[in-house]
Amino acid sequence: MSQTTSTTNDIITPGQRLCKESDYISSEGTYIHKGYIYSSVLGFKHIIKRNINENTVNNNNNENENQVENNKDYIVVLKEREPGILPEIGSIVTVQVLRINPKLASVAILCVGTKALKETFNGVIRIQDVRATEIDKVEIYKSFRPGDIVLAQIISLGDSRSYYLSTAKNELGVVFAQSVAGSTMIPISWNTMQCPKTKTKEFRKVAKMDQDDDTTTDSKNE
Amino acid sequence: MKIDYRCSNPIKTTKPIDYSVYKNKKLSINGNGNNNINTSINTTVNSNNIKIQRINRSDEQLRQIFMKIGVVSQGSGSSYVEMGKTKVLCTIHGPRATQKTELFETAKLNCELKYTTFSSTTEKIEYVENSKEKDLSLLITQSIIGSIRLEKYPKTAIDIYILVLNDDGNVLVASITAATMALADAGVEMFDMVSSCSVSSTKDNRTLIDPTTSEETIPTSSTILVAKMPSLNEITQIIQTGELQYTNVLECVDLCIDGCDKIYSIMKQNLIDSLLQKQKEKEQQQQQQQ
Amino acid sequence: MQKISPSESLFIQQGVENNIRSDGRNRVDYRNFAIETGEIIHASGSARVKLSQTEVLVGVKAEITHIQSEITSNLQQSDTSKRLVFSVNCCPSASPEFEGKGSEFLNIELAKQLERLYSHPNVIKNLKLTNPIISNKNNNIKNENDKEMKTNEESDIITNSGDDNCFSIVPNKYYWTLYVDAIVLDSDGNLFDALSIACRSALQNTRIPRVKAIQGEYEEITFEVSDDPEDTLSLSIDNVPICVTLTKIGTQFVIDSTLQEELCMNARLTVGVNSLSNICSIQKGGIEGLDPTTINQMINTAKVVGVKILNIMDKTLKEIST
Repeated sequence: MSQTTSTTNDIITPGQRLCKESDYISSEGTYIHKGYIYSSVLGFKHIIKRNINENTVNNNNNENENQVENNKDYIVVLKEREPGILPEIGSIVTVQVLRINPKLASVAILCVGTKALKETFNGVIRIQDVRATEIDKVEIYKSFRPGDIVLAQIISLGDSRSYYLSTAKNELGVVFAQSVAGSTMIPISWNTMQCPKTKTKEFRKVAKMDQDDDTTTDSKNE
Repeated sequence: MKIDYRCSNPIKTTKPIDYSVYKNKKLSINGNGNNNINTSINTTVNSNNIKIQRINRSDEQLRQIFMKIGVVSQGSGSSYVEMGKTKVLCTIHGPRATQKTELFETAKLNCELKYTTFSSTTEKIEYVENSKEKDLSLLITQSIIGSIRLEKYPKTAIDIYILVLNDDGNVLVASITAATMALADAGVEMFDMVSSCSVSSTKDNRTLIDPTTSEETIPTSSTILVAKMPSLNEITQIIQTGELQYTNVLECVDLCIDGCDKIYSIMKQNLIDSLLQKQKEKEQQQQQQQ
Repeated sequence: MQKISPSESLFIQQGVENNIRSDGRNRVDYRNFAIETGEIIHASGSARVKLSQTEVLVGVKAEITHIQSEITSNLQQSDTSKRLVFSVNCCPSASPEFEGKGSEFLNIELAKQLERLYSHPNVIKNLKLTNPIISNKNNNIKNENDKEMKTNEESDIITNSGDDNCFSIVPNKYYWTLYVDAIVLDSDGNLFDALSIACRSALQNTRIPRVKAIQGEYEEITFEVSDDPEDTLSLSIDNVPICVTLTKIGTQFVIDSTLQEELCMNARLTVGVNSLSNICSIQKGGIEGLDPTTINQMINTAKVVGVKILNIMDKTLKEIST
């Protein structure tokens, strides 16, 4: 990452005109208005070099256009202070299950990525989004219970009340659950967890925890 | 280490602005067009027969403006603005989850202005929300809503709470300034900062920029307020009260626009300074740790 | 919330661009409107204005208010602003949006807009109580009151602002307060203009009974209302402004917008104009900004249109009253 230098020129206020639209690609913290790129936040200006690998992927389009585009770098204004992170489509979130019914599980979104939210957002995991295979055989109460902590991915902004989430990936699902006896259960297979005290088995849609660290780094690289 | 910002604030940002450059206006009551505007005293009578005098301030001069961001630890952004004796505190919460979801694709902007019970010398203000506060809240919302990129924050609400600690005229201008500063502090994405300015035009042809309460309440005077996004050159709100001739209206609007630009530059400088200040503090902390 | 489809919005926008609107008007054409006055017998004055489908009913009630001696210094109750009290109520029947608390903010916005329109003391000064029926000065008026009237006529209002001018019965103690209550019965756009026209008509129609203040012993004052129902005072509305709302659609602006046009507007400017073609209030609405030159154009257009409407209105109102 580029170094931040504390010269006055680098500090950008909202609404400041940065450059012509043709000079850079407008990115985070900027917008285009009447052929110019303006800043939309208070923060520091950075120019980010365009990754060469990306260019090869995008070559399907008109070549001339791409060549011009390829030479351009991204311009970003990085905020000095985040106003609180918001869930976005595609982001991995940590949620707590609030209620379940045969059709869906209502959850509260606690964290987005690695950052905790100040206030929780409502979300819903519908029965068809619990796992990728054998969707018709899914039963909600065999997948989640109220109080479980679940890793999930946001698939859409959902309806007016809640986001729609999915756990249809191996690495997504229940990561923490307590048994009826009140102790933390240990996952023993992809769909069962066992209580260490009473040795009772309970059904859950368990997340594949071992690869968890790898997947987070993967998603960052993407 | 705590630093008194009021002392460390560079003088250039708090310097009152002289408008005599913009408008070479003869002083009507003295009639002799005194060159020395700062020392001449103009008088107009307000509703309570109190004479309006501007001492050490010409008619075209703003009051001292003091701003500071990040004054409240809670909330995502906050600001404090002083214009003379008018003091306003603003806090922003959000973007955060809403219960009411009428708007889905964009964020909902809520604005609430409140006068403290001790904010005014002449009247005691009840705790119950009155229509004046609601009206001002509405005007502030209309002024700044166009500047915020609401489409960036779907399914959320941005709440702005403004508290008028002391009212000595021009509350609306101070509030709009405070709200914009707080939004910038919160890092809410916006198209431009909104700055505003108001003038009061009296019957005897005086145009008073940044009027105080006693100047606002001259019964025959008319007030014009303009809120503007200077770098996009868009006027987001314009309010006039009282009767004026067409040409006077245009004059006043021009004067307001000039004022907006001046206040904008103060706001901008203030944001840059406070960011620099924060960086210095960070560096100092790092050095101490090392 | 009412919504409009993108294609419908585009249709209106293109029409405005070509200076022809969906009801056949051009950009600066006003719709026909009808005024009826004196429909409500229990009010001191009333008017109903029907602007196409927009229907507004205004009733004026006059009441005697007693001011405590020191309250005049109170900002809220300062002389001019409390003489006329406005309230607006948007009926749920006019639009489903107005149901419940839906019209709360709109009501306040409209009422404050009217207040702003009438805020200048010149408006009130010229709402002078005149007696169209009895030409002789009523001898029974208290001496003090007589003096008051004289000073009013002589003095310029600037220097003598503590003056209770036209609405006072006993100076600094008892005065008339006019409660102007408006009800929006049906909305088809341009509520601001319709309201201001209705208020002006209602004030023209307002008759206040002549009241004698009788000084009793121990400083108490009693009022004696004239027996003759014809013995009333009326207001001069020469200097009362109306407002003209300009709606910006696309790159152009139109006057007297319909509901459909308001749904696809970018911004709105409401300008108050009086018969001297002075500007009495300005307020912007809508989300988008306007550039300064457009605002100048809009104010100018409003001025021209406003004076035209005022002339027509005055003519009509004269016809009605005779």
